[in-house]
Amino acid sequence: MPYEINHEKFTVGPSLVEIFQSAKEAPMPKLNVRIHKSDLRILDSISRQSGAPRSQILNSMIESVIGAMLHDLAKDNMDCCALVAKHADDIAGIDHMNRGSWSDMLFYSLGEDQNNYYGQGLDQKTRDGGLTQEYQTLVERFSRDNV
Amino acid sequence: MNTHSSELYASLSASTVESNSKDFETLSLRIPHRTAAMVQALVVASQKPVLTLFTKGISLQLAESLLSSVDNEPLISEEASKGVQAGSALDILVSTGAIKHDKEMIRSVHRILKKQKT
Repeated sequence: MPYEINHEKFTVGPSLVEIFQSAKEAPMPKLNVRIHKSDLRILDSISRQSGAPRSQILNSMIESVIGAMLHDLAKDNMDCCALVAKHADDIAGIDHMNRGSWSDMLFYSLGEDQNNYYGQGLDQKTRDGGLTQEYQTLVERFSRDNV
Repeated sequence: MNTHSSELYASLSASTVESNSKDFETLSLRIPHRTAAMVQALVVASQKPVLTLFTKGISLQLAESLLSSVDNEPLISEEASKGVQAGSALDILVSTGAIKHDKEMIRSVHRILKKQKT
Protein backbone atom coordinates (compact mmCIF):
# COMPACT_ATOMS: atom_id res chain seq x y z
CA MET A 1 0.00 0.00 0.00
CA PRO A 2 1.43 3.41 -0.90
CA TYR A 3 0.01 4.88 2.32
CA GLU A 4 0.56 4.10 5.95
CA ILE A 5 -2.17 4.34 8.62
CA ASN A 6 -1.40 6.73 11.46
CA HIS A 7 -3.13 4.96 14.37
CA GLU A 8 -2.69 7.97 16.65
CA LYS A 9 -5.28 9.89 14.63
CA PHE A 10 -8.04 7.30 15.29
CA THR A 11 -10.25 7.08 18.39
CA VAL A 12 -11.20 3.80 20.05
CA GLY A 13 -14.68 2.55 19.10
CA PRO A 14 -16.64 0.06 17.07
CA SER A 15 -16.01 -0.02 13.32
CA LEU A 16 -18.64 1.27 10.91
CA VAL A 17 -19.37 -2.33 9.87
CA GLU A 18 -19.93 -3.28 13.51
CA ILE A 19 -22.20 -0.27 14.09
CA PHE A 20 -24.45 -1.06 11.15
CA GLN A 21 -24.34 -4.80 11.88
CA SER A 22 -25.71 -4.24 15.38
CA ALA A 23 -28.31 -1.79 14.05
CA LYS A 24 -29.43 -4.44 11.58
CA GLU A 25 -29.60 -7.16 14.20
CA ALA A 26 -31.67 -5.17 16.70
CA PRO A 27 -35.14 -4.43 15.30
CA MET A 28 -36.41 -0.90 15.88
CA PRO A 29 -38.66 -0.69 18.93
CA LYS A 30 -42.40 -0.16 18.52
CA LEU A 31 -44.25 2.86 19.84
CA ASN A 32 -48.03 2.95 20.22
CA VAL A 33 -49.43 6.45 19.95
CA ARG A 34 -52.97 7.76 20.24
CA ILE A 35 -53.73 10.48 17.77
CA HIS A 36 -56.77 12.61 16.88
CA LYS A 37 -58.55 11.11 13.87
CA SER A 38 -58.70 14.60 12.39
CA ASP A 39 -54.91 15.01 12.71
CA LEU A 40 -54.41 11.58 11.20
CA ARG A 41 -56.54 12.47 8.15
CA ILE A 42 -54.35 15.53 7.56
CA LEU A 43 -51.17 13.44 7.92
CA ASP A 44 -52.63 10.87 5.50
CA SER A 45 -53.38 13.63 3.04
CA ILE A 46 -49.79 14.94 3.30
CA SER A 47 -48.51 11.39 2.85
CA ARG A 48 -50.71 10.80 -0.23
CA GLN A 49 -49.73 14.05 -1.89
CA SER A 50 -46.01 13.98 -1.02
CA GLY A 51 -45.38 10.26 -1.43
CA ALA A 52 -43.65 10.16 1.97
CA PRO A 53 -44.78 7.25 4.18
CA ARG A 54 -47.09 8.22 7.04
CA SER A 55 -44.71 6.55 9.52
CA GLN A 56 -41.86 8.77 8.33
CA ILE A 57 -43.96 11.91 8.77
CA LEU A 58 -45.10 10.79 12.22
CA ASN A 59 -41.56 9.90 13.27
CA SER A 60 -40.31 13.33 12.30
CA MET A 61 -43.27 14.91 14.12
CA ILE A 62 -42.54 12.93 17.28
CA GLU A 63 -38.89 14.04 17.17
CA SER A 64 -40.10 17.66 16.97
CA VAL A 65 -42.59 17.10 19.80
CA ILE A 66 -39.81 15.65 22.00
CA GLY A 67 -37.62 18.68 21.18
CA ALA A 68 -40.46 21.04 22.13
CA MET A 69 -41.16 19.09 25.36
CA LEU A 70 -37.50 19.35 26.39
CA HIS A 71 -37.32 23.05 25.58
CA ASP A 72 -40.51 23.76 27.54
CA LEU A 73 -39.15 21.78 30.48
CA ALA A 74 -35.84 23.66 30.28
CA LYS A 75 -37.76 26.96 30.50
CA ASP A 76 -39.31 25.78 33.78
CA ASN A 77 -36.29 24.01 35.18
CA MET A 78 -33.00 23.41 33.40
CA ASP A 79 -31.80 20.90 36.01
CA CYS A 80 -34.86 18.67 35.51
CA CYS A 81 -34.43 18.86 31.74
CA ALA A 82 -30.73 17.96 31.93
CA LEU A 83 -31.62 15.01 34.16
CA VAL A 84 -34.24 13.72 31.66
CA ALA A 85 -31.71 13.95 28.82
CA LYS A 86 -29.04 12.18 30.89
CA HIS A 87 -31.46 9.40 31.86
CA ALA A 88 -32.37 8.89 28.18
CA ASP A 89 -28.64 8.62 27.41
CA ASP A 90 -28.24 6.05 30.22
CA ILE A 91 -31.11 3.98 28.78
CA ALA A 92 -29.61 4.18 25.29
CA GLY A 93 -26.21 3.20 26.69
CA ILE A 94 -24.61 6.43 25.45
CA ASP A 95 -22.16 8.49 27.52
CA HIS A 96 -24.02 11.76 28.17
CA MET A 97 -20.83 13.75 27.48
CA ASN A 98 -20.45 12.20 24.01
CA ARG A 99 -21.25 14.11 20.86
CA GLY A 100 -24.67 13.14 19.56
CA SER A 101 -26.05 12.21 22.97
CA TRP A 102 -29.40 13.68 24.07
CA SER A 103 -27.54 15.73 26.70
CA ASP A 104 -25.09 17.08 24.13
CA MET A 105 -27.91 18.08 21.79
CA LEU A 106 -29.90 19.69 24.58
CA PHE A 107 -27.05 21.83 25.91
CA TYR A 108 -25.99 22.75 22.38
CA SER A 109 -29.50 23.82 21.32
CA LEU A 110 -29.91 25.91 24.48
CA GLY A 111 -26.48 27.50 24.07
CA GLU A 112 -25.41 26.17 27.48
CA ASP A 113 -22.00 24.77 28.44
CA GLN A 114 -22.40 21.09 29.29
CA ASN A 115 -18.81 20.72 30.54
CA ASN A 116 -19.29 23.55 32.98
CA TYR A 117 -22.68 22.24 34.15
CA TYR A 118 -21.44 18.73 34.94
CA GLY A 119 -17.99 19.96 35.96
CA GLN A 120 -19.10 22.55 38.53
CA GLY A 121 -22.64 23.91 38.14
CA LEU A 122 -24.59 20.87 39.28
CA ASP A 123 -22.24 20.08 42.20
CA GLN A 124 -22.46 23.68 43.37
CA LYS A 125 -26.27 23.62 43.29
CA THR A 126 -26.32 20.29 45.14
CA ARG A 127 -24.06 21.72 47.86
CA ASP A 128 -26.06 24.96 48.12
CA GLY A 129 -29.40 23.16 48.22
CA GLY A 130 -30.37 24.89 45.00
CA LEU A 131 -32.14 21.90 43.47
CA THR A 132 -35.94 22.01 43.54
CA GLN A 133 -38.43 19.52 44.99
CA GLU A 134 -39.44 18.66 41.42
CA TYR A 135 -35.83 17.71 40.70
CA GLN A 136 -35.82 15.41 43.74
CA THR A 137 -39.10 13.85 42.53
CA LEU A 138 -37.47 13.19 39.19
CA VAL A 139 -34.37 11.66 40.83
CA GLU A 140 -36.67 9.35 42.80
CA ARG A 141 -38.69 8.33 39.74
CA PHE A 142 -35.54 7.59 37.73
CA SER A 143 -33.99 5.62 40.57
CA ARG A 144 -36.96 3.25 40.37
CA ASP A 145 -36.42 2.83 36.61
CA ASN A 146 -33.85 0.06 36.51
CA VAL A 147 -31.44 1.06 33.76
CA MET B 1 -54.39 26.91 36.92
CA ASN B 2 -51.22 25.49 35.36
CA THR B 3 -48.63 28.27 35.37
CA HIS B 4 -45.84 26.10 33.99
CA SER B 5 -44.89 26.29 30.34
CA SER B 6 -44.03 22.60 30.47
CA GLU B 7 -46.69 19.94 31.03
CA LEU B 8 -43.93 17.58 32.02
CA TYR B 9 -42.77 19.90 34.82
CA ALA B 10 -46.35 20.35 36.03
CA SER B 11 -46.74 16.56 36.18
CA LEU B 12 -43.96 16.44 38.78
CA SER B 13 -46.14 18.23 41.31
CA ALA B 14 -49.67 17.26 40.21
CA SER B 15 -51.42 14.40 38.48
CA THR B 16 -53.52 14.82 35.36
CA VAL B 17 -56.14 12.57 33.81
CA GLU B 18 -56.33 11.69 30.14
CA SER B 19 -59.71 10.90 28.64
CA ASN B 20 -60.57 8.29 26.07
CA SER B 21 -62.73 9.09 23.09
CA LYS B 22 -63.89 7.73 19.77
CA ASP B 23 -62.19 10.75 18.21
CA PHE B 24 -58.82 9.03 18.55
CA GLU B 25 -57.00 6.29 16.74
CA THR B 26 -54.11 4.21 18.03
CA LEU B 27 -51.17 3.69 15.72
CA SER B 28 -48.11 1.52 16.09
CA LEU B 29 -44.86 2.71 14.54
CA ARG B 30 -41.19 1.76 14.61
CA ILE B 31 -38.89 4.37 16.12
CA PRO B 32 -35.08 4.55 16.38
CA HIS B 33 -33.50 3.12 19.59
CA ARG B 34 -32.25 6.55 20.59
CA THR B 35 -35.78 8.01 20.35
CA ALA B 36 -37.20 5.01 22.24
CA ALA B 37 -34.75 5.71 25.08
CA MET B 38 -36.02 9.30 25.35
CA VAL B 39 -39.65 8.10 25.20
CA GLN B 40 -38.95 5.78 28.15
CA ALA B 41 -37.28 8.61 30.09
CA LEU B 42 -40.27 10.91 29.43
CA VAL B 43 -42.77 8.23 30.49
CA VAL B 44 -40.90 7.64 33.76
CA ALA B 45 -40.50 11.38 34.34
CA SER B 46 -44.13 12.30 33.68
CA GLN B 47 -45.70 9.05 34.96
CA LYS B 48 -48.08 9.31 32.01
CA PRO B 49 -49.11 6.43 29.77
CA VAL B 50 -46.91 6.25 26.70
CA LEU B 51 -50.00 5.91 24.53
CA THR B 52 -51.17 9.47 25.20
CA LEU B 53 -47.81 11.10 25.87
CA PHE B 54 -47.59 12.68 22.40
CA THR B 55 -51.29 13.13 21.53
CA LYS B 56 -51.52 16.81 22.43
CA GLY B 57 -47.99 17.53 21.24
CA ILE B 58 -48.69 16.09 17.79
CA SER B 59 -51.78 18.32 17.44
CA LEU B 60 -49.75 21.38 18.49
CA GLN B 61 -46.86 20.47 16.21
CA LEU B 62 -49.18 19.81 13.28
CA ALA B 63 -50.98 23.13 13.84
CA GLU B 64 -47.63 24.94 13.93
CA SER B 65 -46.44 23.14 10.80
CA LEU B 66 -49.67 23.99 8.94
CA LEU B 67 -49.11 27.65 9.79
CA SER B 68 -45.68 27.57 8.18
CA SER B 69 -47.13 28.20 4.71
CA VAL B 70 -50.36 29.56 3.22
CA ASP B 71 -49.94 26.82 0.61
CA ASN B 72 -51.16 24.43 3.32
CA GLU B 73 -54.63 25.91 2.92
CA PRO B 74 -55.99 23.00 0.80
CA LEU B 75 -54.99 20.54 3.56
CA ILE B 76 -56.83 22.68 6.13
CA SER B 77 -59.90 23.29 3.96
CA GLU B 78 -60.26 19.60 3.12
CA GLU B 79 -60.27 18.62 6.79
CA ALA B 80 -62.32 21.62 7.98
CA SER B 81 -65.15 20.55 5.66
CA LYS B 82 -65.57 17.50 7.92
CA GLY B 83 -65.86 19.63 11.06
CA VAL B 84 -63.47 20.51 13.85
CA GLN B 85 -62.57 17.92 16.50
CA ALA B 86 -61.97 19.32 19.99
CA GLY B 87 -58.25 19.43 20.80
CA SER B 88 -57.15 18.63 17.25
CA ALA B 89 -54.73 20.69 15.15
CA LEU B 90 -57.69 22.39 13.43
CA ASP B 91 -59.20 23.26 16.81
CA ILE B 92 -55.89 24.88 17.78
CA LEU B 93 -55.94 26.86 14.52
CA VAL B 94 -59.50 28.02 15.31
CA SER B 95 -58.56 29.04 18.87
CA THR B 96 -55.57 31.04 17.64
CA GLY B 97 -57.71 32.78 15.03
CA ALA B 98 -55.80 31.27 12.10
CA ILE B 99 -59.06 29.87 10.73
CA LYS B 100 -62.52 31.21 11.39
CA HIS B 101 -65.96 29.66 11.25
CA ASP B 102 -67.88 30.53 8.12
CA LYS B 103 -70.52 32.84 9.66
CA GLU B 104 -72.74 32.73 6.57
CA MET B 105 -72.77 28.92 6.72
CA ILE B 106 -73.70 29.00 10.41
CA ARG B 107 -76.51 31.49 9.64
CA SER B 108 -77.90 29.22 6.94
CA VAL B 109 -77.82 26.23 9.33
CA HIS B 110 -79.77 28.36 11.85
CA ARG B 111 -82.29 29.26 9.13
CA ILE B 112 -82.80 25.58 8.28
CA LEU B 113 -83.21 24.64 11.95
CA LYS B 114 -85.69 27.50 12.44
CA LYS B 115 -87.73 26.35 9.44
CA GLN B 116 -87.82 22.79 10.76
CA LYS B 117 -89.20 24.03 14.10
CA THR B 118 -92.08 25.93 12.47
